[in-house]
Amino acid sequence: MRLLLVEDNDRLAQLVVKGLSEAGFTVDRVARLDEAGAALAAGKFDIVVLDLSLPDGDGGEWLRKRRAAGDKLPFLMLTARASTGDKVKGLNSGADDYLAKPFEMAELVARLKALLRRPGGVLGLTLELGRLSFDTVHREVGVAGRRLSLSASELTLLELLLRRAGRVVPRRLLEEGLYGFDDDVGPNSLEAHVSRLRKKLEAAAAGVQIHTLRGVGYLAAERSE
Amino acid sequence: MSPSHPFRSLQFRLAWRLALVVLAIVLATSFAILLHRRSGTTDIPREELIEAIDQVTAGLSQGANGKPQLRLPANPEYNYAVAGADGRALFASARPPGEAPPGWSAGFLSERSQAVAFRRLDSAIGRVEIRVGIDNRRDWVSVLGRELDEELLPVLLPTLLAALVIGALTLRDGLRPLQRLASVAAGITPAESERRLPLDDLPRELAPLVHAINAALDRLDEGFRAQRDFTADAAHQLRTPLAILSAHLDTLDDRTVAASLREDVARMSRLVEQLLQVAELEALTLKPQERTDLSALAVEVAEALAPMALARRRDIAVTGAEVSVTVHGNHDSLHQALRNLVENALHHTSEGTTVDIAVQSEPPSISVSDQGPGIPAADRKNLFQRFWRAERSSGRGAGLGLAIVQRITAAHAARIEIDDAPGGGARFTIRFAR
Repeated sequence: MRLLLVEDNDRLAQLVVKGLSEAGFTVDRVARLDEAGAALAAGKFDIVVLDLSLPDGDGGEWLRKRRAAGDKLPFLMLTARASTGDKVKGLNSGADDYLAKPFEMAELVARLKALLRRPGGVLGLTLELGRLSFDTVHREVGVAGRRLSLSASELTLLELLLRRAGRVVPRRLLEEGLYGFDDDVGPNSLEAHVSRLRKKLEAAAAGVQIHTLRGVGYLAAERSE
Repeated sequence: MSPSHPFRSLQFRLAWRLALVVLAIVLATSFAILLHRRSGTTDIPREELIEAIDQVTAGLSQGANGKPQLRLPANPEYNYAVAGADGRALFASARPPGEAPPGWSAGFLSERSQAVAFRRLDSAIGRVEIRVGIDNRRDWVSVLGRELDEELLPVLLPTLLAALVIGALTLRDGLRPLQRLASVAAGITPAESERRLPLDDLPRELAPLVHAINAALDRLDEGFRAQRDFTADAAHQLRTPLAILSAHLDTLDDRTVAASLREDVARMSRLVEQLLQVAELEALTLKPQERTDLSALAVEVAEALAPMALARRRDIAVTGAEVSVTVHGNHDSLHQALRNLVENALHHTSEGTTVDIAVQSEPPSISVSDQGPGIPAADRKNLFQRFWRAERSSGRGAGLGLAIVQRITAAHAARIEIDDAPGGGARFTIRFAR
């Protein structure tokens, strides 16, 4: 996974490069927007971590222009501004996610992986969590090499949960995903589907736990033993 | 003088002075009338004098002993003197009228203390000169009293009352803008430090004061803004070094040291975050058309905090969010308030339990309950003071969180209440006005 880090603070950049390298990323680092433009033109990157305020301009403005020109790379915005208003501004400029300084390296890695797990992302072809692996091309699920048989609706639920592993997937999103299979998605039908999926994962010792957040949604995480 | 002293009231002072002026006018008028009476030229009681002369004339007779006699009713209301043809005084009362001018057979005179009539005629005792006098009306005090009573009061009392009423009304009218100014001034808070007192409709006399107050507010506002900007800047500036520190910790080999240092960094980050929130809050003003859906807010906050909660083996649930509950409110600040409450609840609830966010629509409210030890009634009042913590020695949380919540609810004219959650634990409820 090749990552471009655009950050002007040398000391922070050094440490982030080190942390991301340990997490399995190949990191190139630049300190200015013009250098970032040159790097993106020259090489193929999977994802970009962009600081919002840089010596030669505003990262958000720069990103907006790139998006307008058709750049589809996933961008994670990094910034010292943290109010919710700023966050909305950051996302409006076309960033896919937003992380306020100071942050923990684990959080940054988790967010980057979540972005890469999106359809089309470099990690989007095979989704992995615990002992579970989900081949999104052939729509096959395996646990430690053994194939697990799931219904079409269970596969859809599992894919939605795995793409946002570690984060809450709102009920509404899951219900919309189920509409294709079951025209009458009653209030309890989602629960029933999730409950069946949960039992199958448990029986297969997939090492994945699906948490129910009552009134909010579901969250898939690695089962903590 | 205390502000409640009557002399501090302009209305009272005006009424008091008007009353003095009217009283002075009454006295001056009465005195003028009195002087006029005493000079008396136009006010000689002619008929009474003529009657008195006739009475005296009729009372004169030649006595048996050849001496002239005068018979008069007891205690006549006039003074008199009777002189013979030779000018010798025959009879006289106490305070007799003075000499009559020679050559005249009859006439009226005005003396200092009495009005006088005289006549020279032939009577029962021969030719006599009769003079009678009627005292100029009694003493001046009684005259004054009578004048006041009969003539001045019926005119002056209504005038006095009218003056007082008109004065009071004029004052009240003229000072009414002050009440409006007071209500505007009462609304000037750190959050609305740019508001100024309006100058329209103001009596000219008050304008300089209001100008001066506005200028003073300008200067205060400037200082206040500088302070606020400084706090925000300082908090921003602290973020990058904290990020470096945090990233550096990930590279440490000693994991236990790193973990404990990470907790310190987390606490510092949180404090910086809260300082920034406070600085932003000072500038929070609610725009009239701002609306926020409490249900969406509850789900949003739950989504954001769920991963952290689950990692710490706590659960989050939302109830009542199926229908939207819209209130007049600022989304970002309410998000912050709810987030602070939920974080606080997650911190206090025991492992394996659930923090419940409940939305109610009638009246609109949102509450957060935990299953922790609860908050003793005695501590509830102190809870919202900045930096106050029930156990000062314990763990994380700078204590700014709840103070921030209170600021935000106050800006929304909402109330925050603390009570016991069903089944123990604490419940914080933000209640909005309808």
